Amino acid sequence: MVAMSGAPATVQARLDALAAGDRERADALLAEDVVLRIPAKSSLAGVHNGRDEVARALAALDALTSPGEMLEYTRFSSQERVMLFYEHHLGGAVARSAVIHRATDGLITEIDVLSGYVDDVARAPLRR
Amino acid sequence: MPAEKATEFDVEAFYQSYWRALGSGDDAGALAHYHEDVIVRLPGDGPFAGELLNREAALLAIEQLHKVIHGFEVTLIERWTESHGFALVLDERVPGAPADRDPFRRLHVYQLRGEKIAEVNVFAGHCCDPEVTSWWR
Repeated sequence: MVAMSGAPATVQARLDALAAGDRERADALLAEDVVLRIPAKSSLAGVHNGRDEVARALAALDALTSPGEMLEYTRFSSQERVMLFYEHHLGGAVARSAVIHRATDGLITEIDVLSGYVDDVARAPLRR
Repeated sequence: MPAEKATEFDVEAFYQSYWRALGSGDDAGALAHYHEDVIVRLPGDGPFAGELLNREAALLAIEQLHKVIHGFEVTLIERWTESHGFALVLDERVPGAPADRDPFRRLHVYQLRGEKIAEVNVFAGHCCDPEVTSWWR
């Protein structure tokens, strides 16, 4: 097994921390000047700047998507960026989203949330 | 279900061939890289949003998209190639838009089955340009 480095290692460390319920450790992997962009039609839409603001927005985003089941569909990685493609299953409907992380020196500097096709628009988490 | 893993297949060469066809306006050539039963999913509730279920529908979508983004400044930000497919991150900017306005970020994810594109998912990111958002709502 090849050990991960660069952005893949940083992003995986954050995902592991979140899976373990350790949000403090997950947030410590955000750079001080991290930028988060969330697409329109969500109460969280816009650009969020700085670790504290981004951490709050990400926690709120997780709360929005907590009902139903969030499944990782596929993942693409380079040393600089990691893209995670999710399917959010809720009541028979599927909402697709992607998150692009950019990381440098062990810290996440940029997160872009992107919305994809939704089987049932009314149920889309990023619309709430 | 995630796409099957392609084995002993040069995904990079496949991508280059696809991108060349697309970039030169050879829509039929680009389409030859798709499975007959390709699924194309476009986001939002704009005029092109929806799930397209075959190659002919995908061709129409490509033609429409060419019309929409014609004149936009498109910058390739990132490209990933893996055994199961490839993905592109693009930034779009309307010519003449204020310099301090963030570009519109778009993501295209191509999943392969065998040696063809079986699934295309397009994602729309944050955007504050009304001309772009009118298409990618």
